[in-house]
Amino acid sequence: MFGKSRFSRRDFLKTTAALGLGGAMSSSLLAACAPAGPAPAGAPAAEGGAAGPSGSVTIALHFDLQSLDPIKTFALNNGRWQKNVFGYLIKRDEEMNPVPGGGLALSWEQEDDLNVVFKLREGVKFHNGEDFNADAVVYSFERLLDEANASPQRFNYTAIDRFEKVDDYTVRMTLNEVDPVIITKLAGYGGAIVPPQFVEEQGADYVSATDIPGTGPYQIVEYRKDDSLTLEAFDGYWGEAPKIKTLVYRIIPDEATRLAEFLAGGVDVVQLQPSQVAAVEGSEDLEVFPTGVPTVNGLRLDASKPPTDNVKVRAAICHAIDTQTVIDTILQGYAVPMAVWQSPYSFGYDPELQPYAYDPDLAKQLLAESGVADPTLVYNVIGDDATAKEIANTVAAMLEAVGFTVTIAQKERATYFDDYRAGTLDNIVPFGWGGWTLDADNTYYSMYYTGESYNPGFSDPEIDALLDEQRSTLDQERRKEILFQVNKLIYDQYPDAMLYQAQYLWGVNKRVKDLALPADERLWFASASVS
Amino acid sequence: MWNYLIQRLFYSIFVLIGISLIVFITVRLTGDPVAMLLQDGNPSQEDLDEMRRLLDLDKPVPVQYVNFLAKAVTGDFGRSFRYSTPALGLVLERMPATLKLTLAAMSVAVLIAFPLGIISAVSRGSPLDFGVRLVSLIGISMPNFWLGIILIIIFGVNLRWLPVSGSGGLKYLIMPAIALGSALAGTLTRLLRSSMLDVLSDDYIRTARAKGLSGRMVLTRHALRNALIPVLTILGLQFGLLLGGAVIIENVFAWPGVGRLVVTSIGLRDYPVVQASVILLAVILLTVNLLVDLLYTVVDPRVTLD
Amino acid sequence: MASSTQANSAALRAELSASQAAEEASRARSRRRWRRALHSLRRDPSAIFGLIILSIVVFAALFAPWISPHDPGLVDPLKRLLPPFWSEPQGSMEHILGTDAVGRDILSRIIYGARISLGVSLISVFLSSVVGITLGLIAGYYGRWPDAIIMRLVDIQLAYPLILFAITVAAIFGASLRNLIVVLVIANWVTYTRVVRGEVLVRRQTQYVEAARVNGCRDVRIIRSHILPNVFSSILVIFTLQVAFVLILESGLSFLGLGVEPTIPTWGSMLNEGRNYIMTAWWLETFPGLAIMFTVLGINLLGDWIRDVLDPQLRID
Repeated sequence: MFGKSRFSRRDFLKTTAALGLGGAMSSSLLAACAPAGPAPAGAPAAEGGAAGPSGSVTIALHFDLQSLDPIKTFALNNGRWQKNVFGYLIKRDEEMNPVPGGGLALSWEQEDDLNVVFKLREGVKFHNGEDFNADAVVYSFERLLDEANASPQRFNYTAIDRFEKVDDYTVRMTLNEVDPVIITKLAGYGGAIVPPQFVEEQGADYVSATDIPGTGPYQIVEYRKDDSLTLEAFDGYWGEAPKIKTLVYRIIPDEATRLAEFLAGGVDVVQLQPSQVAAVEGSEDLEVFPTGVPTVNGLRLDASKPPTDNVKVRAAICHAIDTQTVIDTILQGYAVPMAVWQSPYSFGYDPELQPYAYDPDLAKQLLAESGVADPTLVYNVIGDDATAKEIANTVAAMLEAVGFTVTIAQKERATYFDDYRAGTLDNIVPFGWGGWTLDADNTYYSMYYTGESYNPGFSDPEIDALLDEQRSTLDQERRKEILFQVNKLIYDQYPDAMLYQAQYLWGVNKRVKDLALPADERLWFASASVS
Repeated sequence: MWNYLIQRLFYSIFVLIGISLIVFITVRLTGDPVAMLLQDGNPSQEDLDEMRRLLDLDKPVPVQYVNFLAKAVTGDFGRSFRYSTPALGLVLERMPATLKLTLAAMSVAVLIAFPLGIISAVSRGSPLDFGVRLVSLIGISMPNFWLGIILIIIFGVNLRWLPVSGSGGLKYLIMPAIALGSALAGTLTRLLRSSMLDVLSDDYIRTARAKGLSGRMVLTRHALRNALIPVLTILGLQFGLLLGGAVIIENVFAWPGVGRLVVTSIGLRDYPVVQASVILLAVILLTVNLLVDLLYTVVDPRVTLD
Repeated sequence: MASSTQANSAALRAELSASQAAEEASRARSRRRWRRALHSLRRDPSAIFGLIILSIVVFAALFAPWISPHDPGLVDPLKRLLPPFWSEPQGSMEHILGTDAVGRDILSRIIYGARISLGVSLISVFLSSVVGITLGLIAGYYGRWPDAIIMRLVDIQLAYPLILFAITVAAIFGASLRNLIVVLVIANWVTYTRVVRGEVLVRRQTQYVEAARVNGCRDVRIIRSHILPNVFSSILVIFTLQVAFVLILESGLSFLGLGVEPTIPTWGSMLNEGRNYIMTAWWLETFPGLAIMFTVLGINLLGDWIRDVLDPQLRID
């Protein structure tokens, strides 16, 4: 379940800089899942521009910032503040489509498959007074791609060969290979534009600087490690002036404390667990907004370890679990069962494919047919993940009802991920995958291709071949056909049980209006107001 | 006295070396930080080797340890893998918050324990005494995070008298200090009660009373002073427990102390920070215990150190 | 020369038998003390209260399979978060103290939890007392370098924050019942070592030990018959305090995710699982919390009484 509890620093999420293949998606599909802003289009209280920004909003973070330096971050936790401080060439709308002129690039033009020319916005200043221009863009990407900087974001951008200055407000991006999602990638964490002079002056101290300037609507005024990050409205912001004066991001590690802070009014925006929603219900001041996200959670069944190396055993497990009951009870209904590791947000999602049916009799029969003498399963769970433990206990009971013996083995959070990647976990491994590229390739390649790091034990030559094929296919319709084929092949091998698309439960105090809660978790405060 | 101090100092150095060795080895058993640092970049083997070299992790562990020790003596504990800043600086930055919490908890405990312990001893056998004993036992019997959550719900959420969590002025300190200090308060109350009773029955107190000294004089001059010895011992011993308990309380109250730093650092395998924190905490504990021993001689002239 | 040695040894033998007589007398005294203790128990209501609580807990632990109304591991998500019986309309006598987040019966889990929690405490405290006493005896009895090494180990242990050690162990070996016990043993041996060593140092200088030694009694025998009986009361007092302390420590480790496997009910893990529901389903948190609190209270009340009885110096009247 680590997709649900946003704890791990790596959030494995392949945050992939929230790539997103927005353009390839049908927006009607998104309409069904896209989050709605907290307030109905109620008129914001902005009047005549006379009043400056006012008020303060507090947002809970679950763990400390990895860094203030955008290229040093990868956890989604950072997205909650970062977008408000830094500017990117590309801005995506709430449906994850790139908006021309929404970011620091006014427009872009594809010269050929490998060259894109960007027209830059003029008159933009960094918080420290430096000018934003072509040099800043070239510098920022050189810095990102420089291996010496060891950016965890770098690998998302390796298709970029270089950025060149054409004139002060024009740059050309040259690719060394085709990357169909490179434009949205520029809206990701690694694409933040930094002020060259400032960074150079700071030198080696830059990584520990606490006043890194960006071009966003808010600037950093104070950062106290493991405690808080305070942002203040930047009066020189090029876009519409923000209405809230101060944003305080507080790091609160304990779930129960976060809820208490939210109930006490100490925190205005918080991500809740399903079990906590009931405590908020009935409150006059607080609201909960379930937001569909592309993250899919499920139980990986390790195909390299007995008895889950037997496909009938895996099938028996899949049919023995009553996913809908788990969702209705422990997850309080805030999830949707999925057939394979793809959400409806994803390019390659096949709506025809149905989740494995709950059928204990079939499960018993499959287990008997498997011929496995000792149907003992070891189910891993992270020690401090309360929801995952509840699910584990419930699922274990369902499996035992059809004849399995289940042991639940608790793991420490940090070692869990390494053990997973090393393939040293056991039969049943709870896992979450962000799928933030919104494209099946990222998920399938990492999780099913033989020998990939997020694939502990699954191997199928046919799937490998198809995945290779779609990677070199530029025709999107053809790619979709191949991915549908892969869906089916994977589905028939039962590599994962109890898949569901997660929902984030944002708790928002009603005094905060018009807060954007996009599916990529990157809260956007520039248009929000507070009373 | 000086011999004693020199011997203690010598022992302390030995203990610190032992602790540094233990933390150095165990932290390396938790796993490889390099894979963790580079995991999101699909790193090549060369990348891994390069990173290992940069972090001084490519040499055999004994060599690493000697290098570490040589630098640590000069106050250089290496740079945090996570923040890229000096590890010692990170720990020192957090230490005041933890010490503040720990000392506040101790003060809460002492402030509660002294009046209660004295009242209880003086009114031995009365319902009041029974009540005090019960309350102090309840203080000992409640897991501190449970007490913390109950305090949060009552005073933070329902009454809204105090902030739920975070750091800042005195009002942020009240609930965590009570949650952390309640067990010590209970222990101290019981201890004071029994050592007061002990002293009150001693001959010289009886003599003092017989000589016509007032009850209050006897209490403060003689009884309390002598009862301080075991209290000091316990305070010294419990200081380590408080620091440990602070790890939990810091999490409950989102208090930015060393406890949280070191817990996350163990998880992230930030070796330098774990090493620096453990060694620094040990230095503080050793110092506190030495101070306690020295205080004995002040409180009770009969005690000599050798 | 030779004769004087003989005379000496004769004197020593006389002294030895005298000291044996003294030992005998002290044993008789101790027997009387116990009788008096039982008598005093009747007049000590708080000790009786402690005894009652502990009897209930021990009874629950011993007879869990017969008295618990349900299987403590029986999961039923459709029956989750049912309130205690008195709470209308959902509460019923079916689940007297209600159910937890996955529909398990809380009363049954508390009854079985008594078994695990008390078992973990007793086993770990027993093991740490064995380790601690042995090291304390060695350090005190042999002195010199064994003493120096053991006491430095004690110093190291005292200066190493326990929780951090526990987290490291969990990170290396994983969180489980066995590892929990190991951590608790490592945490608690020190107290015994310090106390036992102190006592031994005092006893070693008494004449009967000297005499026994000169007379060629084997160390093991001296320790068993002359030293151990004398430190027994201190050990018993520490033992009771430690059992109570470990019950609380276990819950703290559970809080940090370092407790036992989730299928095993312990009071600490139940207390921890209930935290998220404290505002909406208070019974998940409150009952295991009260179980810990009352048990620790009971042990301490009884411990007070044991101390009063065994340590006459603390008896005032």
